[in-house]
Amino acid sequence: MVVIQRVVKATTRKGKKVLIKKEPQVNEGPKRALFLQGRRSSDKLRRLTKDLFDIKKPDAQLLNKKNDITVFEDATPVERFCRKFETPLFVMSSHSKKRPDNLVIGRMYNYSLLDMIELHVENIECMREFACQKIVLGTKPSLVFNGPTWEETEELKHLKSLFIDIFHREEVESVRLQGLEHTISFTATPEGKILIRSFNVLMKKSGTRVPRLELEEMGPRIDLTLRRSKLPSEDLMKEALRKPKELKVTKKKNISVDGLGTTHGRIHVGKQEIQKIQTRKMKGLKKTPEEIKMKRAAKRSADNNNVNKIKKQKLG
Amino acid sequence: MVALLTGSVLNTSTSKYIPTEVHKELKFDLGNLAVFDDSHIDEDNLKTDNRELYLKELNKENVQALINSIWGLPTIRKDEVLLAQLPEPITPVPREKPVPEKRPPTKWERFAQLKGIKKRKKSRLVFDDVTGTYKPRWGHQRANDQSKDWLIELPKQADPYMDAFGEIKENKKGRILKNKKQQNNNNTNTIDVRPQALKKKALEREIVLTKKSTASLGRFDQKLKEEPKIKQAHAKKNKFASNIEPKKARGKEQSINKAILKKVIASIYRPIVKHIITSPFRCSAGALSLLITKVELV
Repeated sequence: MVVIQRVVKATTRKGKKVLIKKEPQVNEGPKRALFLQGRRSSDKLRRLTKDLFDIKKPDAQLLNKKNDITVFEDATPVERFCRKFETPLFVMSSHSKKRPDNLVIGRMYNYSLLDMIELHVENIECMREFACQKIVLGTKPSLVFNGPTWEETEELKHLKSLFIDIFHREEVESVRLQGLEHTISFTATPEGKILIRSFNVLMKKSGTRVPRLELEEMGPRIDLTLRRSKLPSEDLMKEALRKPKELKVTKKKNISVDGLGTTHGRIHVGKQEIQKIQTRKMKGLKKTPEEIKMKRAAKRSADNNNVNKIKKQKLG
Repeated sequence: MVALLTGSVLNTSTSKYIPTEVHKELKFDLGNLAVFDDSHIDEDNLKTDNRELYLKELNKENVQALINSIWGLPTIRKDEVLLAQLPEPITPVPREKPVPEKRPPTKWERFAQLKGIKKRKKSRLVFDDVTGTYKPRWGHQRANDQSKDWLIELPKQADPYMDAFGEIKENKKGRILKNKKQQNNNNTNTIDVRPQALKKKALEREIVLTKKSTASLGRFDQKLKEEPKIKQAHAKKNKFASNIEPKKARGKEQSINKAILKKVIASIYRPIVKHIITSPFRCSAGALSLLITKVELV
């Protein structure tokens, strides 16, 4: 449903800048996440929310108050929050007798709900319980997905996409080799559980250029089970995945790189009229008048011969 | 616990380091720094107490494989830092907002495109003659600010009692208004493509139509000095003949009403007559003739 919004006009330059920032852009920065509560929250969920918020900082917003929201029935309050705080991702925690320790992860497209998945938090161990060196805020983590089931069901496929969306921060073109300090692993067990583990990556010396890795568990240890889900419609997802033309890489034609690394190019030269090429005049090679006469005579006799041949063929 | 070996020991040289090769079939999405391990996870490992250790080992292998492939990417050196150039991400991640639409070119942009005028970047600072320093070209404390002039030289023919300082302010206000107007014209996306002549004709026709749209059909409208004369339209007025007429003149009103009544009754009886004529049942000629005469009488 399209909600017609009153056209907001800015009166100050600062206000105008804010509005321009909210407009759709070709290159989008990191997606912000909103952490909010439902009708009631449990101790487990509170610790989990705090930890996820710490990981997602600074691209995150934490709301502390309880809200009377049931996402699967009516998602409009969440949409409104996401519009206000400019957060396309949201993580809502709620605790009820029917659905204890409930976590809903979802994302928006153009301020309206795209998809969301409900998870049951079975077990959580906070970052505080692991005694190890923590990572710098804002590092881009490497993500590991274990288990064949990630590709088997639609729900898990979408969940994988969601996890990548939340944790990968932003799309980068290059990464500092020494900066791969954090890794988060998502394991989908055959019985349907999802185990999230977070490690601090230590690079040790190895004989080769590539370092040897040692993992040290640092982050929250989360065990989840799938509950309900609301998957996006095909065309909405297609619309959301559409890439702008500016980002499409146009391949340069007629340029190739061979095995050794040298670049080869092909130039297409048009048809050349060799007779009409303007070359240097060499006075010494110029034909004398006698030579021209001789050439003309030779040509005439040759033509006559040809005509005789054709006559003979016709007669014969 | 399942024994997990990080590949075979290839180094022929007596290396004291643990090898870093991983011989596993994994899928990579280096654009997102992601590695996908499709190999089957043994349930038994997860049920035992060594579950966390198993997971740690599994992840160590996979991350090592990922690091191996990242180190294999082309690198560039920027500001004494070695950067690996990542390829395009494979896993599609949806955008948060739709792709921005290209707004139509403004009047100036169209003109510049036609003429081939290219934008030239101007420097922010300009030399200020008054202070002899470099000051911003526009904005707060700008160079060559006309409004800060404490003395304005008037040309010979100028009126000495004219407010020259006020004029500068008025001109600025005029420029701001003009700019706003032009911005508004650019913002409205309707670009009228009709040629001037057609626009004029359309406007003229609209004027005529609006004039006629009053109850008096434009008879009492205030006319402009140079407005062309428009042919006066006359309203259709219903003329009612008198009901109380002398016998001689009675015909007109009566005949009109009779004709109407005939039509109405005929429209009721026509389908019945049609039905009788077309029906398979025979109808007495007498009844039929009665019906027809009834209509005729009336």
